[in-house]
Amino acid sequence: MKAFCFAALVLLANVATAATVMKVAPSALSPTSSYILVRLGERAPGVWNTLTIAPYDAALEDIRGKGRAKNNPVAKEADRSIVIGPKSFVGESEHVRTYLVAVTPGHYVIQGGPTTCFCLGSYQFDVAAGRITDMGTIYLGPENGTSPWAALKRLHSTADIEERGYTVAEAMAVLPWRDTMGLPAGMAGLAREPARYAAATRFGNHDGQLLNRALPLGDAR
Amino acid sequence: MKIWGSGAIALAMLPLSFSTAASAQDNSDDDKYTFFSQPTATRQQVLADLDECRDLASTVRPPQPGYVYTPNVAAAAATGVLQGLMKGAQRRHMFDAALRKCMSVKGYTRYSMSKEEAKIAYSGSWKDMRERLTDRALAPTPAGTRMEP
Repeated sequence: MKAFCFAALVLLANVATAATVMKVAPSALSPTSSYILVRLGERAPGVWNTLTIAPYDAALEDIRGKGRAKNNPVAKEADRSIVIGPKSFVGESEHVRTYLVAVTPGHYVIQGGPTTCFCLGSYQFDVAAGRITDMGTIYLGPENGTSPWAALKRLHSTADIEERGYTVAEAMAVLPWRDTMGLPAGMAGLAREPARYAAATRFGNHDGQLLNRALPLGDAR
Repeated sequence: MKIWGSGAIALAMLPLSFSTAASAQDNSDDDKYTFFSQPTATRQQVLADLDECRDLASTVRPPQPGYVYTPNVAAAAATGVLQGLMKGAQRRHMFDAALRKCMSVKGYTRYSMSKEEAKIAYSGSWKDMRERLTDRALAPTPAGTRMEP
């Protein structure tokens, strides 16, 4: 019985502290929670991306609790690696899904996509409590000219790399929020601010993914 | 698990054309053995870049192979061996791709070298190897054909 109660408590604790991907916009924001809003472009027709963000130590240039920042772990109840997508989105239009995730307030980095770590250069940003941090729109796709998005379609790898699909790294274009980006219904009245991105020069490849560097901010040519 | 642990010289030679034991069977001789060049960098910078890129690329893991069920023990064993071989090759290819991407992002250009030159450049411990690769990287006029990153 004791073991059962302990297991239940552990489960409840995890549920209470893990990042919560929301399916509908909340009517009000919790003052102690922070929220991330991000729009993710389709990877290919009918195929949706995932995006991983993680708490970042800007001084040590690594994911908190790992590598160079091993001695700076996040609190036990705080979020670690957060995978956003492909399901549980709050809105979808024109091949872009919008996700809203409740996370522990803190400083985060865009770590990677489904196959690639952006350890050679990515973006870090603060996520404050009681409001939504709007990450804008992020497009991810393989560097082999097959992406449906102009920002990525022009990118290619060398022929020997493109020959083997599993060696083709993803490219990532981050477009900070602008007023032409839509908002799901019911979210206009919620406190929201654009993510203030700063370059994250490097961090470790802790998930064993392929490597790349994010495109310059707003590069959608 | 890292491909290049400390002192794992034999394993270090695997990907070691620093590009490409992996692609050796697929490409012409010019593509088999390569090195990176950036004559304007400092020696310390090249050493640091080689270390960092090797560390990042060494952790790359291939995708998990699909599970294949067979009631035949011999067939199951053969499948396992085959999957193991495939995974090893995939890992080398992914290491190669990751290393090239990393060095390219850091501003290095890739050049070909002969098999004999590669044998010398990529022999011994990592400590010795990185010194030789740094010498090559800093050479004012790199010998060999310029390659795509």
